[in-house]
Formats: sequence, structure tokens, C-alpha cells
Amino acid sequence: MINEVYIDNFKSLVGFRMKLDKFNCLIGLNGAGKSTVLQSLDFLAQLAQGDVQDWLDARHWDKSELNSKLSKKQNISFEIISNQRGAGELKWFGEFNRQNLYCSSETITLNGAILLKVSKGHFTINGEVSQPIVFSYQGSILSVLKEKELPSELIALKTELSSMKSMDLLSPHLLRQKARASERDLGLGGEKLSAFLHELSDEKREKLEQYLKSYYPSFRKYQTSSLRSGWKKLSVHETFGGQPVETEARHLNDGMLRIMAIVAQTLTEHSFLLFDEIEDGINPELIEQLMDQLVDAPQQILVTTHSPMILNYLEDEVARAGVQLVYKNQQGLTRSRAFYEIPSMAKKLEVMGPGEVFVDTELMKLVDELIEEGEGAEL
Amino acid sequence: MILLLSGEGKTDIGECGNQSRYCDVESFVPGPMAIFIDQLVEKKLQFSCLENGYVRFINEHALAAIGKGLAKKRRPSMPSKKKRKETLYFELNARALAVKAKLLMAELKDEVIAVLFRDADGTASTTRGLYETKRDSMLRGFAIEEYVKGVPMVPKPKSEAWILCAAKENPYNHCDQLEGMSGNDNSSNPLKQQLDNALGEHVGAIGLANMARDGDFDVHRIDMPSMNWFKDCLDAVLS
Repeated sequence: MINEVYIDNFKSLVGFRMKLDKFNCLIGLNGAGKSTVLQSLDFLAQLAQGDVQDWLDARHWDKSELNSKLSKKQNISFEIISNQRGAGELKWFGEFNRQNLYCSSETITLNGAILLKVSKGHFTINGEVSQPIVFSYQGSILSVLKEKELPSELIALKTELSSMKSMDLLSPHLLRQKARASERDLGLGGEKLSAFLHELSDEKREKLEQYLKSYYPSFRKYQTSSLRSGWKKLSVHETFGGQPVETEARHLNDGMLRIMAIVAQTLTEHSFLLFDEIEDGINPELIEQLMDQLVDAPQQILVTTHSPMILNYLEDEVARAGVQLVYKNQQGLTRSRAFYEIPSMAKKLEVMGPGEVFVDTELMKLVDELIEEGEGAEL
Repeated sequence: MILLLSGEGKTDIGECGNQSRYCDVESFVPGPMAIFIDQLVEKKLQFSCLENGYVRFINEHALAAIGKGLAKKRRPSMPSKKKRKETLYFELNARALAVKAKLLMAELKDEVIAVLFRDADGTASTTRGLYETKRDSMLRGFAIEEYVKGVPMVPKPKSEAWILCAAKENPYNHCDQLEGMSGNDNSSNPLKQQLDNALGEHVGAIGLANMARDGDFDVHRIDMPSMNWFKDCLDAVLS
């Protein structure tokens, strides 16, 4: 599980550090940097997979847009701490060269001992003889080294990072599109849903349908069919008053499509799922079930929300450990603070629900107070 | 008649001396605000509840637990044009105290007057929200539970301002100015420090209560809008 992340010089994240729990929820005013936090985690995950240019293209970004306008630094510095069950604490830190799209230096330690080090054009694994880097790559050197050459802890870290999945651009418009093949995953905005559902194993399909029935009592099954050109068409079968009704994806409601995509993601092998504005398009009646499902999901989860309903359906302990207020300090730099650990919020949480605390609080003034106290900048 | 008191800690209403969350007068260690309340009641009824054992105390954690139970029975309470932000904490605590007061009335078969103390500018809301809306949201909380004998005790910005009115140089004069000060203990001239300076040393909760009891601070002469509102409200409930 990823316990802590630090990133410096990525968009509005300058010297930004945040602790993470099993379930995490970011709250804050518009423009505070919540989505940027998701993007930064997705960026770090991409470093472990290489292909940084593809990642930029998928987001329609240029590499010149990666860094902060508030910093003169060229490189992006980062640090990730992950606790691996049974193995201990893995720390990966380094510098990403924005011009050449690779980590010009990086180090991975296990409980303080160096497992991998890249520096000055050479790399070392497990303290063995340093080797010159005579190949080119993007992102982290982890993305190109053969797994058989790596100690198991490095493979575990690479797998964990590579299997993070950000759905920060999830959009009903893209979810509705037909797709040919999904490569067993959804696109950043939910595109390829039809192909992704088509390729699910029977077991997972059955599980997904069971979940969907619990959300929507009228739901019977979903159907994917291959069109002559290889495109996959998605439709949903429901029953209303004994009358079966089939609806093609392009006519399905936003909420059901989003629930399908979100729930389907919890059935994947991803280690960490990130969703922006999780409540979008979802009926309040379904929010408790969705939150329970995400809190209990096998994956580490991070969502952002503006909804007190989302927060109110969290148990106090989950809220205390996982809800972070994201805000901008006086310099315009994004900072985070465990929301329910702020003394005035902790006091309110004693007597009301987490969502009520949120909705009863004048967030702008609270942020002003945090800035005035100079708190939240460092953990 | 029983006085049911609740506050934020030993320096305002007081605490149970036996570490418990709820106690009667036997183990109640009154703070200066409890002394003030008793003195105001005594003036009106010629009867000290503290001296005669007619006081019960419930601490803020026990109150919060009752409030949290109430919370589970309702949907999230949304702010609106009629209901401003930064008020729910006060409303829920008042509701919780009303629930406790009604139980006590049934148990003792006696009238119970409940006083709920919270600083206007305290830990729970600091400078956020207006004094009047916080105070009035306590009244709303009592009303929701259909309890008519609840009295909000909300010093502006905090209890030290009321005591400082009596302790400062030129006491009891121009005290309304103290209400414009910050309740933040980290501010440049915190009220707590001002009170220590006025008394010449730091005086703890019991010392402050003793000074109130001995007449060093005369509650009847403290003339500040937040204190006067409290006196009027208590008077109305006692009448």
C-alpha cells in the first residue's frame, strides 16, 4: 500500500507531501489542486511503466506544461513510500528530467538499504557493480529492466505502481462509445467500456451483474455483442413490471454507466484506483452502497468529492484517517491536511457526521485560518 | 428545581472530580461560570443550587455521544438561507442537553433548567460564523427537542473576556470593547494572557472559581452584550 507521496514541481504541486490510507478522499475548494493530485499519482505510476510521451498525448498535454509556473526548477522531484506486507518499507525517490522524459536519477530503498540506484548515467542493483546505461527509455529504469534481473521487492513495487489506475477524466460521453478492444482495461475517460466488459471473464461478469442488480433492482444483465467490423456494442437488459427492456449504451443514463465503470474497476487487478468527483451523476440513494463498496474494495482507493453525502456515509475512523483537505497557500501552492484532525473539525466530528461537519464549515475561512497558522505546509 | 450544566472544560463550567462524564454536586468541581450561574439564580430565587445539591453536570464528551446518537436518526442537516453554516455544532449540543434534561426531569420528577456553555470563538468554530447565529442555533436545538428551559451561555469571544471585565484595571467599565477582541489563544494579545496579566499571575480553574465565589469577580456588575443576553435568557427561564 502506498503510504506517502511527495512531488515537487508538478503543476501546482511544489514541495507537496501527502499521507495516504487504504481509502482516501480529497475535499477542497475549486482550483485547490485536487485533480492535480490525482494527475500526479497517475504520472508517477506512468514513470514505472515508461511511455511518458503516450501518457502526455492521451491527456493532450505538452511536456512544457508539466512543471509549476511557480518554480524555476526544471526537473520534477518525487518520493513514494510503500509498505509491502511482510517485506517492510520501500522508498522510491528521484528526479524526472522533463526535457528527455526519463528519471535522470532515482533510488529505491528497502528499509533504508539501497536496492536500485540510477545516477550519472549508471545504474546499480543490490549494490552490485555499477553498469553504464547504454539504452534509452522513458520514465523510470524500472520500466525497461528485465524482471528476472530484479529482486522480488523491486518487482513488487513496479507492479504496484504500474497497476495504479486513474479515472480522473471519466465521462459518460466516452463510456457510451463503442470500442474494438480494451486490452483488458478502460481508457482514462472510460472509453472502451463495451470492449472491456466484453472481455471480462464469466466469473467477473457474473459478479458485476450481481452488484448491478443490488444497485438497480430492475437490472437483469448486460450484453455485449461483436459487430461485423469488430466493434463491441453494449446494451443493458432491465425488467419493468414484467416487461423486458433492452437499452443500448448510447441511451443509458449517466449514473448507471458510471456505476458500471467504477464497480467493474474494483473487479480488476489494479492496486490503486483513483476517481475524480465520484458523486457525479449518481443518485443519492445509491451513494451509501457505492461508498461501502469503495471502502471495502480490495484496492487502495482515492476519490475527490464536493458532496457531503459521500462524506456522511464514511465511518468516523475512515474519515479521520482518509479525508484530506486540499487547499492553496498564500503562494498559490497546493497543500493538504487531514481534515478531521484539524482541532475544530475533530470537535465537530464528536457530535455530528463527517458530511455534516463538512457542510457546516465555512471552508474558505477555514483555509484562511490554516494559512494564518502556517499549518499544513509540512506534515 | 435542578440545574443541569454543561461546558467545554474545567476553566468554564467545571468538571467531575471523579473522572466521570456525568456527576451530581457531590463530585462536581465547579468552574467560574458555574459560580456565576449559581449567583444569578440565587439572586433571583434566594436559593443556591450549588450549596443545596441541586446541580447535575454532564461533560462535553458525554453530550457529544448523545448528539451523535441523534445524528444517526436523521439525514445530513443542510445549511440554507435560514440556517447558516457554523451553527450545527451548537444546535446538536443543545439538542443533546435537552434530551438529557428531559430524562432527568422524568427521573427526578422535578423541573430541570439546562445551561449550555460554549465560547463563541472557541475550538469548535474559532472565528467562523457569527456570535448571534451560534447562540440562536442553541435555542433552535432546544426548540427542536421541545424543551423550553434551555439557556445558551455563549460569551463573546470567550469566558476570559467576562472575567477580564471584572479583573481588569478600571473594572466593569467599557467592557463591551472586550467583545471585539480575538478569542484565538495564538493571537498577538490573547485574552488568556491579558487575564493573567490583570491578576498578576496565572490563576487556574479552581482559583478563578474561588475568586468568583469570594466576590472578587461580581457577575451582577459585568455589563457586556453577550453577558446581558445570557442574564436576560436565564431570568426569563427562572420566571
